[in-house]
Parts: sequence; structure tokens; C-alpha cells
Amino acid sequence: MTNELQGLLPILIPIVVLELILMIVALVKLFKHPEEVKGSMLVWALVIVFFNIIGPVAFLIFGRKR
Amino acid sequence: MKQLMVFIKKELLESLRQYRLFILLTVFIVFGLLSPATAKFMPELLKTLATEGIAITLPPPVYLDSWLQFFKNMSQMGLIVVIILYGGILADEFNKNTIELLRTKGLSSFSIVAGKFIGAALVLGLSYLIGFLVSVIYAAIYFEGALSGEIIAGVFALLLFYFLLVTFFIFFATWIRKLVGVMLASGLSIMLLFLLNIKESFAKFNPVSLLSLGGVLAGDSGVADYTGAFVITLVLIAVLLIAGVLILANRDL
Amino acid sequence: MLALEVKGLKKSFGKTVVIKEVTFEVEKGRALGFVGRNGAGKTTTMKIIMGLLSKDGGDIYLAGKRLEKNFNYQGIRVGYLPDVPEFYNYLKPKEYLKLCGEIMGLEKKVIEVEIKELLELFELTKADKKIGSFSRGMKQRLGMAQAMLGKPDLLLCDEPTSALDPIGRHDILELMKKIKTRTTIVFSTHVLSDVEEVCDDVAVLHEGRILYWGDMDKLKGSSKRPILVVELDLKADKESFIEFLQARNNRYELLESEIKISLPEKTEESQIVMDEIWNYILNNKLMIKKYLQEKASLEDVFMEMTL
Repeated sequence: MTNELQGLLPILIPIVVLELILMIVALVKLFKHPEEVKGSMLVWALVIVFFNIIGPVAFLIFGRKR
Repeated sequence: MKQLMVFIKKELLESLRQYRLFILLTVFIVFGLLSPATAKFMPELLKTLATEGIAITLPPPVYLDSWLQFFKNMSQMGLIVVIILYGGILADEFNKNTIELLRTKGLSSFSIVAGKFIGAALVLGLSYLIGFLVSVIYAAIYFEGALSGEIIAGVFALLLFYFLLVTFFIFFATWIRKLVGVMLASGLSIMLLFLLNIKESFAKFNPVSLLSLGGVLAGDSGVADYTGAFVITLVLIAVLLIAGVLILANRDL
Repeated sequence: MLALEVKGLKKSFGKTVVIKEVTFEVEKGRALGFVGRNGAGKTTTMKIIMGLLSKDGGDIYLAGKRLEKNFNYQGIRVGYLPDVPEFYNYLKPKEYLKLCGEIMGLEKKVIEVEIKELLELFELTKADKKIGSFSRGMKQRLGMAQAMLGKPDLLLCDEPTSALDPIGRHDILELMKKIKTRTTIVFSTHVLSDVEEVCDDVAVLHEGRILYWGDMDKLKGSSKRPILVVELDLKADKESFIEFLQARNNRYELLESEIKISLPEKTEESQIVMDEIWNYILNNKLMIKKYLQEKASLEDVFMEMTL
């Protein structure tokens, strides 16, 4: 099992980094421009934090007034 | 021509500020990372999950499996992301009426249609290329093997299909305007193309074949057999865009 | 010299005829009030002039040149401000104006100079933020700025004040007075006091036809009918008073608190009518707040024409 984990490391690190970037961008957008947010801020914050990749993407596409 | 460049610049800025480029890059890079890893570790994972008594015999994964996985991701989740991000690419301009003022400034129908397509193609193309390159690197880390012309052709056939989809979204918007109508008409068009595949001899010329060309790679038929599908798709894109320009130029805004 | 000439314009949407026959002219440097009720065809006429809609018949001339095809103004610039202008929310005002200037094919230096001047004129210099966060009034001012870009020979404003609060409306009217000196204006509205404030000429559009077109003061003078304004305190009084007017077949108009009664042209005749109304008020002991005779305003003339 440790062997497999080692094999996974080269992709786990960049994916985690990407997830974090995505999450941070979405959270910054959420809190910096609350007037542009569609729906509840709290719900979006939870979605962004707990649904990897899909959460932040969903917020950036559907969560803002254009 | 100068006006077209101005409108393309606006489209690119929009992709940047509306997070379209950012989302596409992230999603495609994730697929680029995940696909080789899934191909490598999924069989082992299945083995550990298998209960005793049931023997799962899977052939050890090879280099090509990494690309089949990439293809699967891009033709499913990737396609959905493209539909969500680009379905309203032109319809939104009509529904929000943002295009009206620019038209009174003399923005031509050609600039609108060509600018929308080229802007989308640049953003999609760049994201796709980067996702592909990431996958090249990781496939090389996990597997022995080398990139072949067939793999490249198969992978980029899907990008061409994305372009066709964007063309549908633009063309139907010049005609129908409402987003729901545009999505419906585009969906029906794709379904119609799939129906044509019932006759087997059509498949080699059918644009929807581009969607499954990655699967073909593993089989015995070569990509070269599908040159017809590539050509027809390019022609279809050109014809629909020209028709879109003409429709837009000759109707009330 | 004429800045705009509209001759025998016709337009239908399906079976609905919106513009039956519209003809009017605007002289260079003048401001024309394009007046009509909602649905009279004002927006349609303006969109046809802008080339946003096709026409079914008639001709449009800009500075004497016949408009051949949509968006082909042959060097004549026309600025357009729709009632609710829509911009790209992710752009800042400067970026939006630059985009407009570049689409028009203006030179880089000209764009820069004009943007600076327009942002100052329309008080948007400090609004260096995304248009998405703009208020209605700010959007309307940005709409005027984009319409004035490239120093247009003609400016079409479609109901520019209708979506605004009183302060916003006042601001826009003041700005319109300012830019009046720079260009020819066609200003459509259903609010007649706005027209009286800004315009020199007036064209009255009703059910797809032009009822009057010409000098505004002449139009006001054209109606010699005086108006009797009555305001009553009690609701019951008001109701019985209206019944009385209806029984007498008087022409009247009901405002929020006032009742405006149109009197006969001749002084002796109108005196008789006024006496009768006065007697009714006295005999029935109606509580009056206001009782006065006034000259017809543009609004009254308009009502008289379109009733």
C-alpha cells in the first residue's frame, strides 16, 4: 500500500495544489464581492470548501450575477 | 479586419474575467493528471477491493490505456463543461441585449460571428493543448511507450468536435436567440448525426465519429480511414458560420 | 439644413401595424421632443433609424443622404441611447468606451482624448470600477457618454429618464441641456414636462402616426382652450362632481388629486360653463381646495390631441 501511495504522489501533489487554487479563487470572489453572489453566501462557502473542483467551478459559473 | 481583432480581444478578455479560461485550464489539467493515474492504478484498486473467491483477471495496463482514459474523460465530463461554458456564447448577448449598443457602433455580423468562434477556439484550444501536454508527461511517468500519430489525431479529433459544438451554439443563436432553443436545436442536431450512423458506411464521414475516435484507436481500424469525417466537420463548421453571418445581417435585432 | 428626415415610414410586426405613417424632420442643431404614449411606436421608429430594425416602407435621410443599408451611415455619426442600456458587467467604463471607439474605427489618440472629456462631462471620472456595480443613474450617464463618443452629428435618446428616480432624472435633463449645444437631438419620452425643459421642437406620435410636428411654443399656443383646475377635499364630493361633469358632457381629465376641465374657446361661453360649475359647487357645499383657470400646458394640448 505504501508503494502505491508513493506511485500516486506525483499526481496527488499537483491535484491538491490545483484544488486549493480553485478553492481560494472562488472563496476570494465570494467574500470580496458579496453583492454579486446569487443565493446564500454560507451555502456557497460550504459547497466551495467541501466539493472538490466541482464546488468552486459551480460557484464561478452559476453563483454570480453577470 | 481591424474590427474583428477588436472583437476577438473583447472575447478573450471576457473569457479571462468571467473565469472561463481559468475553469477550462483547471479542469483539463486535472484530466491530464488523473487519466494516466486512473489507468495505472484502477486495476490494482479493483484487485484489493475484490472479495475472496472471485478472481479478477485484468491484463496489466499499457501506455494506450492512459490515452483511452484521457479520451473518456474529455468526451464525457469535458464535453459537459464545454456545453455549460459555451452554450450561451452568442445567445446571452441577445438575451441581455449587450450586443445592441455595439451594433449601433457599426459592429458587423461577420465580426460578431467570426469573433465569437475564433475567441472560443483560442481559449478552448489553449486549455486543451495544455491538458494534453500534462497527460503526455504523466503517461510517460507511469508507462513505457511513446506518442503515436494516431493518438495525437484521435485526441485532437475531440477538440475539433468541441469546435463543431461551439459552431452549433453560435449558428442557432443567430437564428433562435433564446438559450433554451439554442441548446435544444444543438442537441437535436447532434442526435440527428448519431442517427445517421445507423448506416455503417456513413460513420467514416460523420462528424460524431470524432467523438469516439479515441475508442477506435484501440481497435484495428486506423485514423486515416476517418479523414472524411475530419473534412466534413471542417466544411460543416465553415458553412454554418457563413450561414450565421448571413442570417444575422438580414434580420431585425 | 436638415440633420434627419423621416418620410412615410411604415413598420409591422406580423399582423400588428406599429408604424402606420411617420414623417418628420429635425433641423441641424435643434432638439426635437418625440412625444407619445407607451406603445405609440417611438422606440420602433428610433430603432429603424439606427438600423436595428428593418423598415417596411418609407425613407430616412441623414444630413440629406438616403440611408441605404443597416449600419451604413456613410460617414455620418449617429449616437443612440436606449431606455435601458446594457453593458458588459466585467468591464470598467473606460474599457467599455475604448471598446466602442475601437469598433467605430476611431484613432487611438482621439479615443483617449474623447474618453477623458466624456467621463468628466458625465461625472464618471471617479467611477473607476466594474460596470456591474453601477446604479441605474450611472449606467444612464455611461449610456450618454457612449452615445456621444466620436462627436455624433445626431443623437437619439429613447426614454432616457423613464427608468430613473427624481434625482437621476434631474441629472440627465441637466446633461441633455449641456449637450444640446454640441449636437442635434431627438429625445423620445412620454413625460411632457421633460420635453418642455429640453426641446425646441416637438413631434407628437399617436397610434403609429404623427399628429403634430413643429415648433413647441406654436403647439402650446395652438390650443386656445383654457383649463379649469378643481381640487376637492372629500372623496364623496369628488365622485358626485365627476357624475355632474359626465351628465353635462364636459371634457375633463382626472389627475391624482386634481380634475382638469377643458373649457370652450370663446371667453363668454367659457364664462357660462364656469358659472354653472361654480354654482354646483356652492349649492352642494363641496369642500374645495383649489379652483383656478389656467392656460393649456403641453400636457393638456397632448391630452386634447390624443383623446
